[in-house]
Amino acid sequence: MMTTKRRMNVSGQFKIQQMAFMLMAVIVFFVLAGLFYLMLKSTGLNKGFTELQQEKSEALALSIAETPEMSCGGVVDGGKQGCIDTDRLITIKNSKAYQELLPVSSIIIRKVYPEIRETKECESNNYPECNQYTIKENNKGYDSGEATSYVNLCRRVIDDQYVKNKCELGVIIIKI
Amino acid sequence: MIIEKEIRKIKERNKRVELDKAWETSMTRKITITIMTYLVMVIFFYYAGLPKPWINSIVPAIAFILSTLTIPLFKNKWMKRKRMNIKGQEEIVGFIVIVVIVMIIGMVVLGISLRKTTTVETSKKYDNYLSAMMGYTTDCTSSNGIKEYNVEEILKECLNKRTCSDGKESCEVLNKTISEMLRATNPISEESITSSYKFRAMYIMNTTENTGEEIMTIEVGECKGISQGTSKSTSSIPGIIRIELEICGK
Repeated sequence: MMTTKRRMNVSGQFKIQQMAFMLMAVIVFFVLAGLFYLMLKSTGLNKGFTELQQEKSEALALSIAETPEMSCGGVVDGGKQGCIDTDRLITIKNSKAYQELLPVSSIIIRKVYPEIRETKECESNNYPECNQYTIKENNKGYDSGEATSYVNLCRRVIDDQYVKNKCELGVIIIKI
Repeated sequence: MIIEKEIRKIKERNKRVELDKAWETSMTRKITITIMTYLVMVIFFYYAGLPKPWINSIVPAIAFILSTLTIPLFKNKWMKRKRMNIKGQEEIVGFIVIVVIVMIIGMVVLGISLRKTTTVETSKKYDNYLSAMMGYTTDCTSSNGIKEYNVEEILKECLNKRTCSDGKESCEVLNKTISEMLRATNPISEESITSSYKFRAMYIMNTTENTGEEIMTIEVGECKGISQGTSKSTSSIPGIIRIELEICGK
């Protein structure tokens, strides 16, 4: 009788042990699955953050292009978005006051179409036969990223006694 | 006394076996394994980057539930054959057939899941790009020679099959300008980050519809990565001109 009881106890203990192991395995499994899910989520968040920063920088580049000193401001096609007046760029290019006003370390505006093979910095003596306007360049500062935005580079041309607007394709590149 | 002991032993064993059998067929076991199968598949789908993991994982979970059903019709047939003492070889053939069927179904499901999705992500960058493209002044001048058309305006001229003041077809100028602009700003080569691009302009009479008269389409390269794009509409009474741009990376 005693032996049977003892054998039953051992068997019961064995079952409890089995159950405990099973529960532990299930818990470990769910913990691992949870960790894996969190890891995936945080990766997605990081990606989202980077994209948001990039979008913010691009919006800043566009807002700089739309400052009154640069933008076409109603002169070309009713002041459309992302339009830079290159006649104005030539005049503000060497303005120290304007350079200090802008909260970025570098601003370069480059013509991308029609293409000119080599980079020609625009100055009053070669304008408009050039393709780059360096408004501000500070290589000493901390560079935390670059952002670009496509813009129209417009100027006025006199053709057969008519004043016409000529717009080309360009990019504004800023370094924050 | 010994016989009594033996009988008790057998009874105990029977009880244990019955319990095991009860667990094997219990609803708790089925539900637990179904949930675990579902969760494991969700994790796998996430890890493999497959679409809609929460929905697609239902399939294997349901497959498991189906596997636990007795299916009386097949069970009776199987028992009848078993009673007739059919050779074991046939059993093996049957098993192999089932394995092959399951493998084929699995491969089909995997193939469908892995099929590349052709969704296009909208991009602010390309939104600005398309707007800047539309503002570009072309070589096409109005018949009176006063106005030089930009891309947006020449699209309307092309739609109406008009010619420029120098006699060139407006559609020809439009095609050349857009092609060169896309090529200059999105070069496709071994070193470049772009694998393909597509530009499409169409005239839509009824704005509730998504199809219309095609004005022009330029498609270069083969998409090998994530496609980003944008669209823009411009009025051309009585309808609209819809311009779509897709640029695919590597």
